[in-house]
Amino acid sequence: MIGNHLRQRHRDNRGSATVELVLVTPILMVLALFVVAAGRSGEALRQVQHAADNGARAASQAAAIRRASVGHAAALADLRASGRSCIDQSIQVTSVTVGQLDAVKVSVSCQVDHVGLRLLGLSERRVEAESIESIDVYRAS
Amino acid sequence: MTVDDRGSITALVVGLVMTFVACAGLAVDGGRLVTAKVRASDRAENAARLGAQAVTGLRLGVPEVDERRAVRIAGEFLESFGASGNIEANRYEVCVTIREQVEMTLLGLVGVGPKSVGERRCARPIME
Repeated sequence: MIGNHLRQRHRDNRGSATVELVLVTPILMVLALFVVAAGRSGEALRQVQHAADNGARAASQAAAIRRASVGHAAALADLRASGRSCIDQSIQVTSVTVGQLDAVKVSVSCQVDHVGLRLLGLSERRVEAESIESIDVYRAS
Repeated sequence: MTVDDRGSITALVVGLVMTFVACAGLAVDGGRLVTAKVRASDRAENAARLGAQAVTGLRLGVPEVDERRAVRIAGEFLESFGASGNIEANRYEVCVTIREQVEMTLLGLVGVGPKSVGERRCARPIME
């Protein structure tokens, strides 16, 4: 009697794991895409920070008249060399003063590339970073 | 599936979701940690280099760091970012150590507390 009952339950549940997995798979795929989106966002942030640092360092070593163009070129080259998480970059090079010393500030921003992640319906996200580098008072020219 | 197995798929799904959240957390918060470390290193480097601009003894050909001015200039630089750090200067070099707390966002959900990143950079004036 009990054996018959268990056998009945056993037959009723057959295939339910498969059905549940089919239902759950899309959710897991969305989660996997979310992990990729999170990774790209972090990578883009690291890229703009690195580009700003490199741009500022290059600009600080150039003559005053070429500072903006050198900083811009260095930051852009760094962004292009470091991957594809960043699109629609914007780079600004400005002269600032820290205390009584001259310095150069490079601000870099870009849009995180969501290509291949349209399914998530993410809104556009921009990341930005800036770096200030002092201009050496005494230097060998 | 028998009566005893009921709920096992649910447990599997909960486990998988937590794994994905942890993976996303590693991607996001790991990236933020690396960025904070790179930024701290750049700031410490710049502050040290700025401090090392305060030199005396150039006419004698033996540049030495003016310790008080070096500490003040490096401090002003760090303040301009709202950052704080430990600045040490002696006659030969200026060293800046920056420590920063980074709050965990997604990893905070699985019980990981804030992490501290620190960088120390030194600069010394040289004659060429």
